[in-house]
Amino acid sequence: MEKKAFMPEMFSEADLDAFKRIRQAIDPHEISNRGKMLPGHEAPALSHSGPHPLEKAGIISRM
Amino acid sequence: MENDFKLHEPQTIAELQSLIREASIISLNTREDSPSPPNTITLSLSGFQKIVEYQPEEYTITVEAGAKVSDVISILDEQGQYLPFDPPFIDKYSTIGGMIANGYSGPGGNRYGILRDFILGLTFIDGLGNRIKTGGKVVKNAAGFDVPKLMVGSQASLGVITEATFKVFPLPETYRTILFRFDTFESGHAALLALGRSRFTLDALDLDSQGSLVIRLSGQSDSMDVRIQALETLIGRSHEVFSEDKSIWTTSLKLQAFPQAGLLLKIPSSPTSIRKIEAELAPYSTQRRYSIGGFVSWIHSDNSVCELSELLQKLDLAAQIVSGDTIEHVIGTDHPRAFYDRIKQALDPQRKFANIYKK
Repeated sequence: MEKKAFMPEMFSEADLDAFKRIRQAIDPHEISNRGKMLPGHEAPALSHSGPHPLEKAGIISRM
Repeated sequence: MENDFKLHEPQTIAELQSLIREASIISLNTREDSPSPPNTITLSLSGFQKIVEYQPEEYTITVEAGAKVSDVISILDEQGQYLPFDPPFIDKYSTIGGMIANGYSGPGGNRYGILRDFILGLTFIDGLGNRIKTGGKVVKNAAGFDVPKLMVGSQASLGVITEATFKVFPLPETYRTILFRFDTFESGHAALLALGRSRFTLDALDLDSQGSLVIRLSGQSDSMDVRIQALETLIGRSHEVFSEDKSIWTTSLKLQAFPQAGLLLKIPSSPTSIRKIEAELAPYSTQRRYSIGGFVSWIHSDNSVCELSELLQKLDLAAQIVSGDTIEHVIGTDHPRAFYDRIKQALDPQRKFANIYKK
């Protein structure tokens, strides 16, 4: 994941576009590990430090 | 031959790309003797035969897809290296691109892995005419999807392969090929299972329908006799010398070894499932060979495609057609089809290349 930012140096735009098309074909809503393998999206885990968003919103709670 | 038949031999990637962009149906011709359907742009990659990069000390080789497999094998051989997956059915027409598209591996896949384990990088032109480079030129590479493996066995239905990088191995010092003959298929099969569970690292392990087990060992010459004795102890009988010549494996697996007429099928199997395959397919086939320790079954049959497809469906098996007078690529069950159709849509949305499943 830490190498993701360098992918455009290794792959051309056409290459990355093909990866994106393949991903879209299998996982159109990009719900499985978004931002893990391909550049473009931030992994949700990185923007959510601290309690789970649902916990923050008061929907779930710890014992 | 039809008047409109023309073999296109692009010399540059740009030419190849524009041919693909303009065409409505594309077929790849690596064999001069194979006919192509009408309204088809038939491509030959004869303009792409270069060895792009070969660094023996790195144990990798990058070649263009039109390079002949036999040429690549001899270039490697000069440096004491080889492709351990033992590409089968190789003749003077066989190209690297065709080899990947077919995806076959020979008996040598038993020890070090099959074709897909040796392909590190791949460049291809997709159905939109985009040049896509995937994988890399080094053994340790994990960036992006492993598209090179996806293209192995795709039968040129997802794109036109233009270049590939392989991992290669040093040639073993010596080979020894031995034969254990059994009275029945069942007893040969029992020995194959026992060997699969044993500590032996066999270069190749093939079983035929008569129950003969053919084993190839490779390594240091002074260890051979000891290893063969240990094998005899495990199997409980003595061996026959089959041949000291490594080429017996490739010649025995050439298409010529199976009858020219009829159908040759490749069925993915397992060491345990081949027992059922042997029992069920015996009445419908003329020759059966279980290779790579039982993980690949080569079945030759004189029956019709239709009949075989129905039978395989009933047995929940799929087969790739290696040769035969038919336009079908895969028969039997089509479980992976949902996945294949999506990938096909992503890489070849206009359906310019063949489809490996029936419409």
